[in-house]
Amino acid sequence: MLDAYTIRQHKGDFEQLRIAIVGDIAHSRVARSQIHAFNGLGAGEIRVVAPNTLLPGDIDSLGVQVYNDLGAGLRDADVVIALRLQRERMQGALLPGEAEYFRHYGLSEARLRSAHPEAIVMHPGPINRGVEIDSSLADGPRSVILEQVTNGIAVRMAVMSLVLGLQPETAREST
Amino acid sequence: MSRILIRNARLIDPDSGLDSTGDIAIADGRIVALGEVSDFTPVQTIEADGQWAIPGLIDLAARTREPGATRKADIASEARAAASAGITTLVVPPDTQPVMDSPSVVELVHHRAEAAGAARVVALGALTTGLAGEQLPGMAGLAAAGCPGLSDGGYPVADSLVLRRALEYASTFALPCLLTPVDTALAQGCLNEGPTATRLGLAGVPAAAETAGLGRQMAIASATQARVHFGRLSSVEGVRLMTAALGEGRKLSADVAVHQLFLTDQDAMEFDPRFHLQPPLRDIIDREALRQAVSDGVIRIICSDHQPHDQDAKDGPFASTEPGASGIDTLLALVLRLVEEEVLSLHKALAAVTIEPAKLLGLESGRLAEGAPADITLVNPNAPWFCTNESLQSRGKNSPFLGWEFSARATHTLIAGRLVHQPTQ
Repeated sequence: MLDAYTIRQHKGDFEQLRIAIVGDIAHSRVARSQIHAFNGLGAGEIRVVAPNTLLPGDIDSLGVQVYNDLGAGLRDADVVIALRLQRERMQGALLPGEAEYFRHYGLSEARLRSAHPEAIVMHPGPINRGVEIDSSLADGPRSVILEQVTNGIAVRMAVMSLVLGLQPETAREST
Repeated sequence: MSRILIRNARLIDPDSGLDSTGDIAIADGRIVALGEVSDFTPVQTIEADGQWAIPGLIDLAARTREPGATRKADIASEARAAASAGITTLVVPPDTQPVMDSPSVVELVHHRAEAAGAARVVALGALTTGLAGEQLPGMAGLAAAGCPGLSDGGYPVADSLVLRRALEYASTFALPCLLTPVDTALAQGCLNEGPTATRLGLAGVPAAAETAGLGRQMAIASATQARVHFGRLSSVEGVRLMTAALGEGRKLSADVAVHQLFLTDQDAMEFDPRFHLQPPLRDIIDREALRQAVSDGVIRIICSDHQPHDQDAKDGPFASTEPGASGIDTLLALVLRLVEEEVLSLHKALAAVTIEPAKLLGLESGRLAEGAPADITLVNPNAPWFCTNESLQSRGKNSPFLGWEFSARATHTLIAGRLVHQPTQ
């Protein structure tokens, strides 16, 4: 929800958006939630980009386009989301190592050149710098990662107050 | 780069189906014209009346023993031997020492081959690190270093989950995976399990060693999108599994070592260690099934499975010697003998050692076509010769075909437009 809210703040309507989710789709609850949410919001195109070892079977049945090649997967994308790569993935014969992962699936300014010039970059945190995303990109002008954190607090507060049965108006009064 | 004209050869190209008399013009390492050649000023002309011009052979499984076991052979010796036998590309499995699981080893092999200036050497990367079946090597890095595919190098990945992940990761980069269809636990022996092994008192290897390995690997491959190839089928049961899988439309392929199409376990009756092979020599029923499978297209590639050995390795009681045969010297002659014995058409026989391995690995060579690399072998179809210790150019003298007479031989071999083998004057 906080990601959808952040995207809406920056990009408005979802219908025109190409959203690329890059990284460990197989082990990510973030990716699955995002795919369901973005599809529900009518996103133009959702892409997942990963090596086949990090893609769950039949992922395309969730309504996404599957890419093995990062360059192709980022082409003209409006929103690029990097996923956290757990270091233990290197142990279980899923990946050879961090260096090769970063070379082929790590996000950097150079790799983002094929994306839309106004593309925003997101990450659910915490970041493995130099593994799934380069520091200069994570801290650069395209990055909305800190806004995700800020929005995360607001969205969580909103969700909790709704769960507690407070109406939007009463919630405002009580603060 | 020299400009060469081959004149009046019988041009045979299994890829296009070409079979007619004509010329080949070569410049800058490539074929620039084929058939009726005019307006071409060559630096060198090869008169090839009565000769065949075929695509240079691509041997899908050949060990050079370098790095690691250069007492047996080395890249330079085997690349030269290959060129003199009409082979223009040796595809080497990663079971070197160190294993070809990192770009540095692959680059070393490619550099040594370049320095040798004979047959091309194409390295297959290791499917798992150290061929230990546990971790994935940097496959994208191996591909960037020039590996057109990956292989288990004769050490099947025992852990099925690791195999699945290795195939999945390889498929990410569209790298074909060449697997050895063996259940190692069942393969502890040195000859086909059957009457001959029993009579000789040798430990037998059942066909189940192949089918158990093949069936498991096929099942795992079906859970992935990988392009999987099975190396060195040896049994009628293995052929049956392969036939069934292809019948279901599975995108799989297989090869056979050429010696399996000529020899049987009977050849080992005198305990001659030259016939100690892996997979082992099997029954005549298996040999006939393998021949039929090549003819039917169930097996599309024939390789030498070249394994040169030093004398010590083959000096001892049959079972305690090292398995494997020296094969690059006889690959072309044996494949053409399959044509003489009417097992295969000429085009099909040549396809199995040229365009089919090229297609599997995505190589540019393996064809006679304008624009293709000028990897060409000229064959004299009527030049009888005996295979002897002295005739073998490989440093491995462990050929099971010593004493055999063959009718055809390679007279000239061109690699990237360079004449690397020609008759000694």
